[in-house]
Amino acid sequence: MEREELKKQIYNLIKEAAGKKKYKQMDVIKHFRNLGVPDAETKEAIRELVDGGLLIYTYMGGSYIELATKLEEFEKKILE
Amino acid sequence: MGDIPAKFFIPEVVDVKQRKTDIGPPHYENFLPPVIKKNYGQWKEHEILSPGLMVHIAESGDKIWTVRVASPRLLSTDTLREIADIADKYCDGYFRFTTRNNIEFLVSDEGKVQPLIDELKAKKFMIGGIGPRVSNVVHTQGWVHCHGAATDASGLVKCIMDELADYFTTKELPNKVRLAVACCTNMCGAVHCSDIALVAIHTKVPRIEHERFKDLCELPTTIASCPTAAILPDPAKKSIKIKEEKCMYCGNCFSVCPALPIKDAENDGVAIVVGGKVGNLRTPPKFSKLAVPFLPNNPPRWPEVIKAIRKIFDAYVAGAKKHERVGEWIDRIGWEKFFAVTGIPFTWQHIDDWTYTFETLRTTAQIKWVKK
Amino acid sequence: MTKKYETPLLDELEKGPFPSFVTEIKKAAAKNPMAADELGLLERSYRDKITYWKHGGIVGVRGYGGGVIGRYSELADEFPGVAHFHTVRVNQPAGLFYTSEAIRFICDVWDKYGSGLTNFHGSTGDIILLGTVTDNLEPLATVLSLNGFDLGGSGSAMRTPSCCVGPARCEWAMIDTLHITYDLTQEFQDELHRPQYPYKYKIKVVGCPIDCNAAIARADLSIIGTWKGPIAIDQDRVRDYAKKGVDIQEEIVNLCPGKCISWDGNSLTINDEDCRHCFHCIAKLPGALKPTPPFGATILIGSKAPFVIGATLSWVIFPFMEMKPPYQELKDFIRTSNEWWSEYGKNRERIGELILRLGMREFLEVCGLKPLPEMVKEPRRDPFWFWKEGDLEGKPWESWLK
Repeated sequence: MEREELKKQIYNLIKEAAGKKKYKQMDVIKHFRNLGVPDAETKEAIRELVDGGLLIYTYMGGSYIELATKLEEFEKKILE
Repeated sequence: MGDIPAKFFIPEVVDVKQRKTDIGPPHYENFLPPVIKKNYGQWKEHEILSPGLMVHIAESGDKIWTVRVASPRLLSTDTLREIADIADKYCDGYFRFTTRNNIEFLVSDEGKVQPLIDELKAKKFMIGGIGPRVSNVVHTQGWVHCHGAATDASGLVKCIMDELADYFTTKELPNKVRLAVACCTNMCGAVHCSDIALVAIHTKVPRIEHERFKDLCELPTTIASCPTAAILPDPAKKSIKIKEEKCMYCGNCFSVCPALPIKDAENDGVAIVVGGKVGNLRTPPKFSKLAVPFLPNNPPRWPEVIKAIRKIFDAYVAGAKKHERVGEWIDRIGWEKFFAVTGIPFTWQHIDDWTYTFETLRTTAQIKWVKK
Repeated sequence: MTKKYETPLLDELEKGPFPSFVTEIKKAAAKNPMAADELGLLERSYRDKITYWKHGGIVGVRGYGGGVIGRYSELADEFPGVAHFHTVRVNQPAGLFYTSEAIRFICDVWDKYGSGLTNFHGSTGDIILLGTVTDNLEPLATVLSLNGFDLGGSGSAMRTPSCCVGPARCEWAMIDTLHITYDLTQEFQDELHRPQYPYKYKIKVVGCPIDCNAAIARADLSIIGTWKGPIAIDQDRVRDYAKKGVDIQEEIVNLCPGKCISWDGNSLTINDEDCRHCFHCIAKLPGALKPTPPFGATILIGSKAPFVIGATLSWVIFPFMEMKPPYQELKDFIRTSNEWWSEYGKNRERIGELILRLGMREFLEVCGLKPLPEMVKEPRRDPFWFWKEGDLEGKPWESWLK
């Protein structure tokens, strides 16, 4: 899979799962492994998304990959 | 990687795009005194000259003196600057911390040792902690900074060390006594393998905030967090249920799910565990075991906890042979005698009914008859 | 001027000989509004006997999943200075050595971007900077990095490795604990900063069996210096100790767990074959007894605090490993075992817990290791065990009985 396409699919996977299921990095890697994407490629794509500020690592009850927008929502809610 | 600039600096305007990642810590060689760099790995022996002073002698004949002082671990930048100033004056700027949070001034010039000690004394630093004594207490964040804390760790440490100060600064013990405080059962400190340690506990089941559960918590993670499988799904409420009779109030579910608060001003308490060690000397490393299952959480000075520690501590000092750690002393005299000499009541909570029942019930007719 | 709170309860903790953390908070509170509100909030906790901090769980710096622990006060209205009060973990220099310039730099940075309160050090070993706001995190991490400092680990990641004082100032260090710690930290930067494991993974390195960093109890990977050569004896020095009042028979001979030392009042004899390498005699007679090469490390795995299955001490995996740079065997072992753990571990399952769940045999086979008696305290007690295809191939009893 092309890198940009892979990134888009990873982002969508996380986005569609938001509020329902949380993905750890390894869960994402396994998801795309089943679609034939080598682990290393998925890992690099995740890193690009995180470095680019679209996704973040969260750490409530274990570390997960979530949408970067979650921080703003969270801080708004927590400061209410 | 590992480099530091010739001079540390803070730019007027900070451009966050300049942030370097994955450089790791600065290389330790940047911070070693010249005498250590020269004699790295070539130390021959050391001698403890007084409770807060030791000298290390290298194969080359070079020496380095270490003066150890206590620290509360929580330090303001003012105090850190004061330490830096003292280090400049006597140690060419070199000092370190120990893994138990003490500060060590590293002196290369023997002539500066006594003046350093004099200044530290004048400034009310507490000098000591070397040799068969009480060292500083390993501890957790407590109310100072933790959402899971059932008590305050720094406060307990302060009270314990005030009580046992003589054993840091002067008096000797049969062997070192390693103390630790954990402000909840998560035990971010080495409580489970310390000579005498405190761990704060809950005694009531968590409250379930069903409305918040949906937003904040993940069902499988929450269920898996329970050591006794007391958490079940509650599909009707899109939340969970807790089998109260199975809950041991550990609070692990709260660490993964904020909608399960367990903190309880009236019912939280402090337990004492004893007899653990990490070193391999003489006997293998040991876990700490339960001595006192509950004492009131009574800030700011925790009088019941401090009195209890003192009783255990004094019994050890009176009963242990030279070189025996608390756990080795107890192993020799037997637990029935430990409870007899300390007077601690033996309760239901002392008998393991979780993972270690198998190993902890007595399977011999070897019993000491002690006065009850 | 910062806000001033009445703190009658905390004031009680400024009395007594041990240095007071309350005094430290007050020093910072005098000039920093965040520290001032931290003091007020803490007094409230002392009054109400309850913590007022909330879970964080999200905030961090760009690209990293660790190094920052989000923290928010439940009483933000009353104490706005601690509405955000995040922890920053800064990777400490190995051995915890500092210069006055380095510490002043940390102070300058922290006075500018945070509360002025620190921990030297956290339980894992990092420098802990206690209390800052979300907006300050990126500039803080930038300035630290421009000066050679990086953030430490947190979350489901490799945590900042740490060690004892080692060969820098201890004659007993049999491995270079500082170099191993530094080298592993650099090797695993990605694993440290980007959480990719099921849960935390701690490494602690100590130079001898005294274990001044609690490696055997507090690290998923415990690296403990040891030796294989005989214990060298300086008989004159032993006699000196005897003259100075050490009861060699009682304190050394009788306390030897291997019962391999004897003393005739003039000279000490050690039967090295029966030595258990506990280090008692060497530690009690500094300068008189010394371990000799080959030096290396015992590598153990799996220790942790009680959650979820009960506390564990680490288990021996390599009784003895040579520890020479670049430590390739160790690094390969870490990678192989952690790939296995990442593949099969559940969320928040430590590697030791996975070994218990799937079996030590599977773990050892994945790592390409053979069973050894040094790995156990005793062999199993029950008569139930698994057989795998091929276990009896080559009739293992034949060569033994020949």
